[in-house]
Amino acid sequence: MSVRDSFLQFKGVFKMAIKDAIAYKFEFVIWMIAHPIWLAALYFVWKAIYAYSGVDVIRGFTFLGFINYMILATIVGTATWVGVDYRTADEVRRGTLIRYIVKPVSYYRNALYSNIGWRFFAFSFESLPIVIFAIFFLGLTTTNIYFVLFTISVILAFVLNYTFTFIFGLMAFWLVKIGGIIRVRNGLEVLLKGFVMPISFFPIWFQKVSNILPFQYVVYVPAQIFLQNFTLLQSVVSIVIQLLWIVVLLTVAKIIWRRGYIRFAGVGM
Amino acid sequence: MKSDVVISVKNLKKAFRKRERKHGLAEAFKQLFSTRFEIKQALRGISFDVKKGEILGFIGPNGAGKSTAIKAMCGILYPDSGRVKVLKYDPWEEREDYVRNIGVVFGQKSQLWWDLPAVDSFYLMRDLYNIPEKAFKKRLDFLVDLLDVKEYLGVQVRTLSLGERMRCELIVALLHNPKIVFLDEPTIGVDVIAKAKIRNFIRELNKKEGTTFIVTTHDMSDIEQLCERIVVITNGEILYDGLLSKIKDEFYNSKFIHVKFRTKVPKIKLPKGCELVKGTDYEKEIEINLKKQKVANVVDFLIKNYKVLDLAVSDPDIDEIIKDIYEKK
Repeated sequence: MSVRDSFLQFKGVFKMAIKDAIAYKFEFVIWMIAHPIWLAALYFVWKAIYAYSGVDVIRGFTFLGFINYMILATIVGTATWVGVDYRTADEVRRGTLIRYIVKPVSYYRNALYSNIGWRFFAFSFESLPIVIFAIFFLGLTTTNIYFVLFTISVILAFVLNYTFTFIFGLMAFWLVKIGGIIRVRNGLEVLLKGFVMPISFFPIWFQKVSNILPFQYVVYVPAQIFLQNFTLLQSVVSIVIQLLWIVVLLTVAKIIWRRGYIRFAGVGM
Repeated sequence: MKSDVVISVKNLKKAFRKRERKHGLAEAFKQLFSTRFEIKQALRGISFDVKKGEILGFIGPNGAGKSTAIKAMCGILYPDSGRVKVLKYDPWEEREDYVRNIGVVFGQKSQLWWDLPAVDSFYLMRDLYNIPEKAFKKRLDFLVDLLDVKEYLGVQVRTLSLGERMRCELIVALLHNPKIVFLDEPTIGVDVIAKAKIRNFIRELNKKEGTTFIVTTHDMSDIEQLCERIVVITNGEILYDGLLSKIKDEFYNSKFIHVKFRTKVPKIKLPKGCELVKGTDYEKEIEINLKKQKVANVVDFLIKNYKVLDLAVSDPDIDEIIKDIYEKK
């Protein structure tokens, strides 16, 4: 199959996902207020911490710097969120997964394309109030070169996050119901991705562990690039590591898919 | 493979592992620590060929292995042993290329996007299969016309009736002009009008384009109206593979006589090889075993001995035949 054909497949599924997202418009209006509430909670908690600690800078972050980080983390977290594990488990349990198997596109790619579509649409809505607030009230901006690096890094973060969430979803081939696994994913999101606070707030040993895991490359790294807390060299190196992680996880996903699918096909559907 | 054979299945075997436990809370806890698996032989070595342009009926009781066989032919399942070859492909190994040549409808598993109108799913197929715009439009119009779904195209799929949805499922599976089409219970839960439309559609497509169909169903009238050849599977084995018209000779050597009398006949005496199926004082239904008795003799006998008002001879119902075959095994 040519690149053009693959692109047409992408375009088709992408557009479909957007139509699907628009079908229930009210959902996104609700989501628009979810993130501001979350950020308001963080604001009050950390205002108190900074006030009572008696220092202006914690681990390299002033209070304003911290709030800027949280805004970026929330935006990147929103841009990279995927629910492919939940969906895959549902398809496996119902046996409807086979409808993708008779189509000339792999399940991985099909689900990737539709997740890009859903996310593209959802992100535009969900992050809108925060983006407006950040630009017009906080004057949060960055330089052109950092913005380009940030954009690349967010796109790679999406593929990276998608791929390991996809692997999580494949556990359903063995476990059928994966509610517990999804809770684990939520925990990882909060802790290891840098979603509630910068990775540098953790103890040194924790940071060392975090460095050899892929999770901080989803939220923490893109946010730090935007805030110019990374040097240009550090940013480029981080992007290369993101790419390497994608290659590793893709290979793992392929192997697990093959083994899992054979198992799925072996229990009858 | 011979040139006109499009599907060849040889000695196909497949077993499933099913988790099993007794009822009760204690048993539910027990299975946390040791799970018992039951091995279920879904297919015990079946072989058959399908020729180009055939409409093959696949029948059998629930759990007989029909769907398993279909799934193996679609490349969804890999066989434990044996060989499946469709066109020039091994369905399991060359899946992505292979599926461009087939169309699949699972009556119980929708392939349409649930929250969107069916027409959106149709256009998605254009992109997934890379169908050129002009050819796609022509094909879509043709299918929409044939299945008479024009008025439902713009309606959210989840609000369609089953019959309307099933016709859309057929379109979604056939837009890319597949040479071979697998239909797993395409008429399940569908009303008579939609059923007639679906059958008509299958016949038309088969005649006009020489599309090969493999159909599973529990509705014997589907089979009677569509298929010349049937394969009967029970318990993972092929019980019969041949012409539908011949199955009667093979499994059922009887005819029925329905007779009405002018006078009261409380008890009837019958010649050998005959059996009274049911009856009232004025009406009887008699089954004749053709191995032991001729129809003409029985008719003669009845007319000579009783005052017959009316008399009709009929073949056994195909439903009855199949029921008998299922139960014998």
